[in-house]
Amino acid sequence: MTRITLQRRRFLQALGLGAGSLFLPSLRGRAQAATPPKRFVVVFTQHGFVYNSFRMRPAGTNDTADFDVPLAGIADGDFSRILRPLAPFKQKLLVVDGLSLASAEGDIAFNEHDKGTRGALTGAPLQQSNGTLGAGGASIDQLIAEQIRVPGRIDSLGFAVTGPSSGGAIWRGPSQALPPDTDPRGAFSRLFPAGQTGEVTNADRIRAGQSSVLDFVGDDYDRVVTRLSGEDRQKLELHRDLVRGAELRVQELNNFQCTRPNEPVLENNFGNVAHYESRFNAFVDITAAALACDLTRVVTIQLSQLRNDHLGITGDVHADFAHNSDRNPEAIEVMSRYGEVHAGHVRRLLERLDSIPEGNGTLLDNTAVLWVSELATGTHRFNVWPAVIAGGAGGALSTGRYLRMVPRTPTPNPHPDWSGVDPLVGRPHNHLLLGLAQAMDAPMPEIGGRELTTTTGVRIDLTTPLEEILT
Amino acid sequence: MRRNLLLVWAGLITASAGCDVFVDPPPVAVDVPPQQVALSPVRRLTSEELNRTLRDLFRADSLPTVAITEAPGKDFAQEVQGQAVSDLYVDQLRAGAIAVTDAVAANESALLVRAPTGTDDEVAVIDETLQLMLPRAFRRAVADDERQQFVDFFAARRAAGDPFTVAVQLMLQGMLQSPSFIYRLELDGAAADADDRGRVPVSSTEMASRLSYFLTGSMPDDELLQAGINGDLATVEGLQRQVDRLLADPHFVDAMVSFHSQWLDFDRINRTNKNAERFPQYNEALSSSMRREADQFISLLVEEEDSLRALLTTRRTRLMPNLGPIYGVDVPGNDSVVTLPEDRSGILTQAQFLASHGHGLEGSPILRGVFVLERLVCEAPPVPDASVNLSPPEALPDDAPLTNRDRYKQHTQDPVCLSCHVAIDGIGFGLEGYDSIGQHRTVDNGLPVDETGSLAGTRVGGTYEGAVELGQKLADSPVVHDCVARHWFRFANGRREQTADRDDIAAATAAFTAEDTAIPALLRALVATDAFRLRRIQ
Repeated sequence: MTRITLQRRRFLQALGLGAGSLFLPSLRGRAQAATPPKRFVVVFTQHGFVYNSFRMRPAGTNDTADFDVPLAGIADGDFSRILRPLAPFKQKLLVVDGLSLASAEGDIAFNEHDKGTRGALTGAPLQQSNGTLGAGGASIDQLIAEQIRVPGRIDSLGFAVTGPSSGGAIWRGPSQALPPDTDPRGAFSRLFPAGQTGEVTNADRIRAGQSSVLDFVGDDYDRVVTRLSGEDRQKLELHRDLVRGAELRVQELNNFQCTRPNEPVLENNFGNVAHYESRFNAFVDITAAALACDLTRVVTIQLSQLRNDHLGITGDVHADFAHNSDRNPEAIEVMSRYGEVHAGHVRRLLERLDSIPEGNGTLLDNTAVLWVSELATGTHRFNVWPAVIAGGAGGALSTGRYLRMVPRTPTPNPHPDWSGVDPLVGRPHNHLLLGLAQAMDAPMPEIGGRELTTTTGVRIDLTTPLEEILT
Repeated sequence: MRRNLLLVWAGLITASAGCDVFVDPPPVAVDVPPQQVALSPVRRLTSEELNRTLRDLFRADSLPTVAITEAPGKDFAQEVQGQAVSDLYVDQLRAGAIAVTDAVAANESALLVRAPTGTDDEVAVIDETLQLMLPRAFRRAVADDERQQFVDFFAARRAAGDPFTVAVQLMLQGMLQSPSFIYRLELDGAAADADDRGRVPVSSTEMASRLSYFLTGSMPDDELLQAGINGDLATVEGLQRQVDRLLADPHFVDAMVSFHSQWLDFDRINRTNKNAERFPQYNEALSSSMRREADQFISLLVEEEDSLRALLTTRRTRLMPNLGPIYGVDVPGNDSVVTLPEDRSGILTQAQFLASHGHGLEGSPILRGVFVLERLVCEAPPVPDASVNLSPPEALPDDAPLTNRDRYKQHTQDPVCLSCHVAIDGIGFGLEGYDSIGQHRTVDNGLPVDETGSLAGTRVGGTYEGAVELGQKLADSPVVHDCVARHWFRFANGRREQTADRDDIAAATAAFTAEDTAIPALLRALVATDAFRLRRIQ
């Protein structure tokens, strides 16, 4: 009887080393390719931005004219309130001020949170069936993952701090929501399982047997799918393909060298801000480690509503403050702080990615980080939707700039009854999604549709990539 | 002011009191062409169903929990729409299968029909074990050649050098990840046998699973599976016998809790914060006792009086001691059955509901009113546009003191707001006798509490005073009976009701009303519907 060969999955325990020293270039194994791969990370937050606390109007610029200003020339202290926490990364930052969620604005029927959450990353109008409200297309992270995926790795990871809101932002395709993982411990053990130590145990043998189990399961699916039709068949075929993907993955990962991040330390009391922060920090650790060892190239982190204690308030963030953040001074103050706190989250992510050397630079330099919200403003507007990009995408993104585009797209819904609707909105954000796809070497002819027609018959093109962000 | 332009959501819009309300489609007499008869999509076991099925399959109460992330944004995890397939799911199921098989293999004598007498006997033992186990795991008869594939896999692992226990575990992991295990496949019946709407009867074997997952939240037990395989569930009598038995089964409470915890959003309390200065007694121990009461309350209903009326009106409940002060009642021990004071009346006066539909300081008549409209009346009001000022006006130092009710009343005076808030506040204001952690009160901010309420602007109609009368009015209303029947329909069939289901809903509602809202009567009636007993062939 021959013994099966057990391949060792080699992990280096973090053992209390500081975050910056976790990743030693000489130990990065296969991830140390000649040219580091490009990665894509989305941070998705809620309740939009207080625009006046977000925007920057450096000396010499004019609010009525487009401008493109190097951030290097702006002192940290002169950054806008919300962007100030990101000032240390000014060379690697690209702020886009002048987009809109025009596609959501064009979708008049539904609540803006539903539209924004489903539309921000898909650029597509909503789809409704059987009482569920779905996105009308795939989200940018999935579209990019599909093109840059590496067989044997994880196509994409989706995390959520406490939970996705309004049905979630990540969509495999029309009406196919992908639930994000909300459990950092589960994610940790999924991505960085304990490796073999010492003698070969039954647990090691079971780990070694996984690809044969998945192969057996895949065969089982093959037999079942032929007896199904329609959507049921498509669904189980997809499931079968994912099982086959997992089979390849467990084979690949057995040979993988990777450094385990620190095991998540979580605060369990929901009422405590640390409950939220410990989850975010754990997901940042896991994201950085998974990207560094090339377990995946695409990660999305959805952040649920901040806690009252983040903001020092009582009352309801959503109803009492976000909804009044254009008129009530206290609400404006609180929601400006809301943006600042999230900028701090993004900064923590950037610090981690930037602390990992890779190629001639850092992991951040090979990543495109996109920070956006479901809405343009806490008051449910879509007209000027801020987008913050960070990282270089391997030199494809032209960073260190603040890009301002004056709104000149006709609003898709100039409804006569609606006062307070701007006749002109920002450039459709589909253009940004297309530009990012191009930066990620995953160019696409369209994302979320080819055009919108306003209620007065004006056509709005959605297919022009925002080339201004590219080098 | 930017107004809401609302289009069709789940059904039609009715203009009640000027408020555009989403109302599920009313019964309309129309012919239903076959293509409008809803499909019965293949369902995957929910996280709860999966874990209960593992418990029952291995007859083991303390297995590791398999953590599966459910898709967000649905009324019930049971609903197929949006039941995503993802590599996260594949990985979570695989990790769960490893943990569970590791646990069950530790007790080989319980797992296997007998111990192998030697290496030569192993394949025979596995084959005999699978003869019993596979039909239970797949909830149907399993052909010899299908079983042989599992035996062969085991033998191959042994030949490759795995120890006996490892080979058994890997084989069982294959079983637990099989589509026949995690999906509720319904494959019986031929298009040639379809009726004029393209439907065939769900086969007796497949009906066993429909019944067991609906009424016990788990796999069929041995008697039910055998009845299914024998064809007994193809007859009304055979079906009835098993339904009666399952309604009396100890696991029926699992289905009841699963339904109610999702329908009435019991988990919301887990995400609820309170102002620590105002409510120093509100801490994690208290909120988890509130959450616990909700499940215990449902299980007590099953034991004592299982009806919608009791859900909305009973003062009986089961409490942890730290909830005693909230309700003003003595609680002698953990999960003590108590009769609450007369100011309580079922689920709408339960601490978890009142607290989770309130803000840090004050209860929210709006959240409470919207909850009742959406979940008990099936009239979801539209979410107001954000240009509407939604914040409760705060009392200024020079103002005369106001009650919470008065403060809310002030800010919905605008006629546009009022069109919906007549209905929302009419319900929410009637619950002002309870503060933001669910304590009864007669004084608010030094002023007497006004508990008068109204159901004007809803299809229920009428006025009332206080939560007790509200509970009774809702329990009496055919509109609420219909709404509850719709929710159970979704839970039972894993999909939204459609126009073609109108007769089924009407019949179930009629039986429910006729038996004074007895839940078992409603569930029996739902089992008897076409939607439950027939399946459209694609």
